[in-house]
Amino acid sequence: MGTNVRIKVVGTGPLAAQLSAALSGRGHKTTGSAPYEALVFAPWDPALMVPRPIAELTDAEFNLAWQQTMDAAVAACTEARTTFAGNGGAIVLTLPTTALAGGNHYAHWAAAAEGVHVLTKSIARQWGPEGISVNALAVSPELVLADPVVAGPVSIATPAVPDADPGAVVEFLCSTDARNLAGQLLTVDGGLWM
Amino acid sequence: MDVNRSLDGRVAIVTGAGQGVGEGIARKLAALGAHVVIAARRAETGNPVADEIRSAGGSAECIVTDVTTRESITACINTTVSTRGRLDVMVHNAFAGGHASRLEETPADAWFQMSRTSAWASFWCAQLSYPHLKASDQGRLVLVTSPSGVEGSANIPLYSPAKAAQRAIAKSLAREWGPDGICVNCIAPVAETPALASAFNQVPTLRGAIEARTPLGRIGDPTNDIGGVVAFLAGPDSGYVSGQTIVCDGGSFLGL
Repeated sequence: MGTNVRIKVVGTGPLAAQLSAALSGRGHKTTGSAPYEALVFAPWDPALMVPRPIAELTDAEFNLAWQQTMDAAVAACTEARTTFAGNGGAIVLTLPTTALAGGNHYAHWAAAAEGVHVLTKSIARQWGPEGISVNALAVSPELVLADPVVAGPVSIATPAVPDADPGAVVEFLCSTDARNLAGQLLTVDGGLWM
Repeated sequence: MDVNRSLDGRVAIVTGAGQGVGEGIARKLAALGAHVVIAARRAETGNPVADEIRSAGGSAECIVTDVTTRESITACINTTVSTRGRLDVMVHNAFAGGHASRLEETPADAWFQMSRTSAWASFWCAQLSYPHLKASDQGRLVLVTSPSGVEGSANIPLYSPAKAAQRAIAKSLAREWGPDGICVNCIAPVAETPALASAFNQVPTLRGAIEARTPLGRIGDPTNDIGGVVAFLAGPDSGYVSGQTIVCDGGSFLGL
């Protein structure tokens, strides 16, 4: 892909920072406001993503995890569509593989992550004809959960790619090179989730 | 009544059992011997279902329940346990709010209803039933999701993530509650229901599209096609099945 794509990265945690740094390092301009041609939704923050047995989970904690994440995802995607102004664009929604594998004491955050995953498919179907490519990037729980050990293993296998870096994949998904993908999930977790 | 009485002595709550898939599940569980609580939002739909089950020789009662509030679910479970002494099977099926729309035009109240009746109610049903399922020697939580919760929906874009959340909750609780011997699973049905009839009215091409892609060539029956699968998940033969989603749709979705 070319450089100088303007990309809005939503999120304040380490994952958003990592993806922003990767995109900036590859010659793109990351921005917090319009105009932009691509959106990366990466709200996951270990400071917030603490485990809780469901018996002890409060409504406030469920609201923070599920409701606020989904509301933020819908708002970010809707704003991006408006910003793209009919010219097409790319939306990349990130999520931990906890969405796919579940997480012990992480039902609240797994719900949010899988909600974001399947939101990707819905809006890919609905906005694809407008030239908006919508796809998802799954990352290791190690990057976003406060306690991935409590969540339990995604796999008993050792990582196939121990130093997997999502930077190049998020760049691809933001690019016009990914325009033929719709609603797809690319997983960069070292090969634990297959 | 069925000769098979695999659920004799079990107590089950089925939310949204006043009609549609929930009604079918309730009828099947009762036919297999369970006492079934028809947890319906409206007595005028729930009571007739309970009456018909009893007339057929089964055991059932209606407890009016609004799954959009923690308090109502609490009352339903507490009443059930106080009168029956146990709760073995919790089936959360109730859902509301799904109407065809663009994502950017989805009314806030529709999203509220979808979110509340799917993710929030699954959380509450799970949390509040947990001590009773743990006390049972055969605790079962079944969440009714949808094939759209796997593959997304262009027609009702927020219906899909609302249903997807239930699958992630089930997987997480399968991990969390496994040591307690509780099995947690989902079914993803397509069945002839008032909700689907409404969807057909909103999207006139939908019935033909579903039938055309269904290898078995028909839309499921809530009792015989869906209820039997839930009965399996509620019964003694599913004790080594947890965290799974069984898609009951005539074979149309094959990508799980």
